[in-house]
Order: sequence, then structure tokens, then C-alpha cells
Amino acid sequence: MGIKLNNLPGNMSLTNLAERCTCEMSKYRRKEASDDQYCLEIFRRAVILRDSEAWAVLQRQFGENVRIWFNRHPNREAALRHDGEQSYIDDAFRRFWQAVSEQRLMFHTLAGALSYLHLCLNCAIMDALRAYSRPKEEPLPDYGQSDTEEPTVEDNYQEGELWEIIEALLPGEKEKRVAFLHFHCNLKPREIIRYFPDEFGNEDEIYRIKRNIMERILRNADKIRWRLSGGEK
Amino acid sequence: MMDCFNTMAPSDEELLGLALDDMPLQAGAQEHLKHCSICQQRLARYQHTNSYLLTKLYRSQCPTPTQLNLYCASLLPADEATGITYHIAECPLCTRETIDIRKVFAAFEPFPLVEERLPGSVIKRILATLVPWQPQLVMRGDPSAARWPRQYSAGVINVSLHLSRGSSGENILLGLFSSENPDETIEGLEGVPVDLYRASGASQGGGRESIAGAEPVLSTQIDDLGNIVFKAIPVGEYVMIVRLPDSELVIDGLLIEH
Repeated sequence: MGIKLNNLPGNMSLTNLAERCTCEMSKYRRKEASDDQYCLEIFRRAVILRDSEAWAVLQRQFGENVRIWFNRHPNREAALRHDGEQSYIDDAFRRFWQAVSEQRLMFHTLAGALSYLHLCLNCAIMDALRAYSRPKEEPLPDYGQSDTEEPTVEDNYQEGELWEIIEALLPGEKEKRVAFLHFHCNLKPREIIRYFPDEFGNEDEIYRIKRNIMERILRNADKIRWRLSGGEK
Repeated sequence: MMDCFNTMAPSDEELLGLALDDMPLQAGAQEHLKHCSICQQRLARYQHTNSYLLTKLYRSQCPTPTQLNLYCASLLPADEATGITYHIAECPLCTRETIDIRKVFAAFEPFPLVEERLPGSVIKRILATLVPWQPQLVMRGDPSAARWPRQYSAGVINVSLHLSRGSSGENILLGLFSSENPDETIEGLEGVPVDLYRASGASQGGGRESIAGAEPVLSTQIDDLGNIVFKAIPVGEYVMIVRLPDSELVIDGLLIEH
């Protein structure tokens, strides 16, 4: 009876759990019947009981899985241009920890837990790629002092507010659509036509609409500044 | 903002075309712009405004990557998911990301397979020999042995390896397979898997066998021209294994440095 109780995952030492977990994972790979409960117990101790040793075991046990997922990820090469492999792996575990701690997530299968860890890795990669795809403010060419009529104000507003103000300035649906695709998606007219061939006649139409948008924004620069600074709330 | 009354001055529309879409000016207007501070300020105003709005508004309405991933995993509350569905219909960037996420999820393997050979299925391993480019003595520890490109020989197969750098400085290893046997075309190697393993613990003698239980860092296949490419290889020492139908060709000591 005592021996049986010691074999229950909840009563096992972390070392024994890790060994059993490795063994069960090998069985799974060989497509043999396997038992999730040892691996899940490591997750439970790490996440629910917040046992730091269990968390270290969990990272050791599944770090190689994350590494393999990363190396098979279609955006691996793009991601490696910005950061090292280990940094994405660490970020995946950090996100996993944060998500399961904050949302008190419970996993009933090991595949479910690993699937969530895999999702976190994907988020880490996507976040990095998005951050680096953000347009950088180009230095102005050396044409003398730039004008200060652009609608810059203290950056203490939400980008959503700026978008709402710009959108409200534009008279038609097409203008709003082009403003969205240009400023929000940073698409060139050719790309817009490629994505939405049914929405616009040709590139010239988009060029024309873009210029109208910009002229309207510049004409209303004062109004935009005033609204962003809280003049109309 | 002052207007420029010079007859060569570009119109507002032309300047906007240049500022927003890099549309070139006529030669005369371009020459005028070089010398006219008023037109330079007009252009700078358009450029600065455009750049400012792009920086502030780029993807400002998009769900975060976490929200999109949870959306694709059907883990979001219904109201939040509905909002994202509407957004995806409008935003080509999120549409593309959603497709990518679904592909990544579809390829998910919780326990990635580690190659394990069944006992008894012995595969012959051939260790490729490094061939010096010119007849010369190659001493153990000789730095010339680590130079690129390198030529290897294994039976009738020759392998030429070149280390290159991508536009972002990432390491790219290119390989070209050829056969010494005139009766054998290289097309016979098309599709042969080639794996790149970390050499840690595998570089010494029988240590290479330990690779059997390891997972390759990168994998590719020989193409119809006998080429292979490994992109973005992290710095380190590697062992390459070419999985021929009846044997494995092993190339070790591939040191990728900064």
C-alpha cells in the first residue's frame, strides 16, 4: 500500500517525476500508450503551487520541445534577424507563466499544456516581427528647417484617438478605407490593388485619394492638435 | 506656408506624389527643388506629416499577436472574437497573420519526433574526408583546415561547402553535391534529406553515434541540381548527415563562427 502511494504523482519527488515524464514522452513518440499524469504533475507544481524548482524542471523538460518548434517555425529566419533563439524560448516560457498564473488555466492533458506553450512561442515570434516591422520615423532630408504644421502634440493620447479624429475628417468611405490601408497598414497603392482589386479601379485612383486625404489633414492640422490636446472631450 | 511662384516649381500634387509614393519629379522641377528652400519646406512638411501619421497609426487598431493567437485557438470570449472577426475582414495584415497562425497550429507536434532507428537496422556510415583545395600538408589543428569553401569526398560523392552571409549578416551554408561516377547523375540524389546537428558531445570518435537520439538543428533536402542551403545558422560547431538510401554520409567539424 505504501509503495503504491509513493507511486502517485502527487507524492513523487521532482527527480522521479522528471524521469517518468521523460519515459512517458518517449513512449508517446514511439506511438505506445503513455500516461500524462507525471508531466502534468510537474506543470501543476510549477504553475498552481508556484514551486520554483518545479518550474526549473518544467523548463528543462520541455525546453527542447520549444527549441524544435522554434527551429521548425516558418518565421524562424526572420525572427533570428532580431534576437537569438534562446531569447524566444525564454519569452515563450515567460508568457506561458504569465498567462497560466493570471488566468489560472488548468490543463487536463499534456498535449493541451504543450499546445498552449507552443501558442506562447508563436506570440513571442509574432510580437518581435511586428515590433520590427513598425515604420521608423525617417530623418527629413536636409532641405532646411521643417515646417511645424504637422499635427504633432504631446504623446499623451491614445493612437486610437488620433485614428478616430482622422477618420472623422474624411468625407467618404473610400477616403477612410485608403487612409486605413495607407496609414494603418502601410500599403503602397500597388499592394492595395493586389489585395483589394474589386474596391478600386486602378492605382491612379488611390494616388489621387491619398493626396486628397493628406491635403485635408494638413488643412485641419490645428483642429487635430486641438482635439488631441483634449479640446473636445 | 509660402507658395513658390517659380514656373519650374513642382505643384502640390507632384510634391505629395514624391513625399507619399516616391513618384519622381520632372527633371526641371527636381533641379528647382535642389535650390529652392520654399519648395524644400513644402516637401518636408508633407514627408514629416506622412511619416508622423504612419508611425502613430501603424497597426494601432489591430488585435495583439496574443489576441490573434487566442482567437485562432478559439480561446477568446465570443464578443471579443466577433470584434476580431470584423477587424480581420478589413485588415490585410491581420488576415495574413491569421492564415500564418493557423498553418503553425496545424503543423504543431507536441512531442516532435526524435529519429530513432530500430535495433538491428544498421545503416552504414561514411565519414567524408576533407580535401585540401591545393595539394598541401594539412596538420591537426592547422587553421587552414577551417577555411571556406571546403571540398569533401566520400566514395564517388563530392561535396563542396561554402559559407556565406545574408543581407542581415546571418550565416548561410551552401552545399553542392556532385558524383565522380560519370554513369551516375546527380538527379539521383534529389530529395535526399540532409540534417545539421549540434556537434556538442558528438564530435569525438564514436560520439557521432549519439546524434541518433538528437534532434537536428536544421534540415533540408538536396534539390534537382544537387544543391542544399541552410539559412540563418547560429554560431557553433555542427555535424552534417546526408541520409542516402543505403548509407549515411557524415561531415563533421563544421565550425560556424561570427
